[in-house]
Amino acid sequence: MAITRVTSGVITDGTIANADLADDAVGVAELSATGTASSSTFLRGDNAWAAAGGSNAPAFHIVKTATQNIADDTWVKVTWDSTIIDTNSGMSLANEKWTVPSGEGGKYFVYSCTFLYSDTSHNLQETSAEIRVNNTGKLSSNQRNVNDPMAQFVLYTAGILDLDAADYIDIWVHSNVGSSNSICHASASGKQTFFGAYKLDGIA
Amino acid sequence: MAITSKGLQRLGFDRSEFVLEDAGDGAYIKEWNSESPQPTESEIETAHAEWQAEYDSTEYQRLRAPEYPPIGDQLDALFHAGVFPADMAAQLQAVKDKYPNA
Repeated sequence: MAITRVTSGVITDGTIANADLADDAVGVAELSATGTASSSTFLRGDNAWAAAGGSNAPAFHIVKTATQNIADDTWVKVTWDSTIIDTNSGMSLANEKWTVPSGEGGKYFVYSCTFLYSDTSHNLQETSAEIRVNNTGKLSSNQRNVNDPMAQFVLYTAGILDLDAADYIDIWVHSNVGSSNSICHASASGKQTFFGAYKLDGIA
Repeated sequence: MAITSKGLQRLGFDRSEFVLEDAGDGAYIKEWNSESPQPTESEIETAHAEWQAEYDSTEYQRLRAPEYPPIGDQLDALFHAGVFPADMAAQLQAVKDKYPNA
């Protein structure tokens, strides 16, 4: 009489070989992995279902939609008025700075673009922009044209910064101008003057 | 009015002698590197007002400058009007003859 059913009790522990299993016989439900299997997760080597790739969060991008006078020869903190992205609510428009959320320290790519111009004549001689961490300059850019003053300068500043939770970053600009002040340009589109950052996931 | 670079420069200080900063509540002197004592805010404001009056009084110069014809065009007009000294006119004519206007 043929054996049609074998109960687990008569199988010696640790004796079922790979050859005893049919191809495609083991389904996802039979795995003991932690986490939840789905179309957006994969099974890691530590037997856990995890989301594929990194999220690069926290990330933010804010823009300037109202012009700001920049007093001659003075480091002035740039004001911001419109938040486009702020994944972890780190931005304070009231304080014009972004603070690293709790538990989110790490390497960040930080960038800013500031568009400065002089209003009545081409008397803008030099401009600088600075990305500060806790009010200390970390990344900067400068354009200088003393002998032939210009009407406008655009400063793009970017780099990777090592930030700790609770560190804050903000943008400062400086200009030497023939009149009382230059102007930090702004537009409804927010294309000319902006500030942002995102975490570099997986980089120690 | 407030603390300004123009006011401090009017008082005779060089840009390298101070650093101004404005975090949103008005400019202040962040660093004072001069051997001379720091002037009062009132002194700086008075000096700035003097600079501003002088600057405003010469606005016509700044408005005129970009609307004048280029210097080269002005000199060319003088050449064609025959008012240059003979020696300078000869030098200009020599260049024109070397590269004639076809």
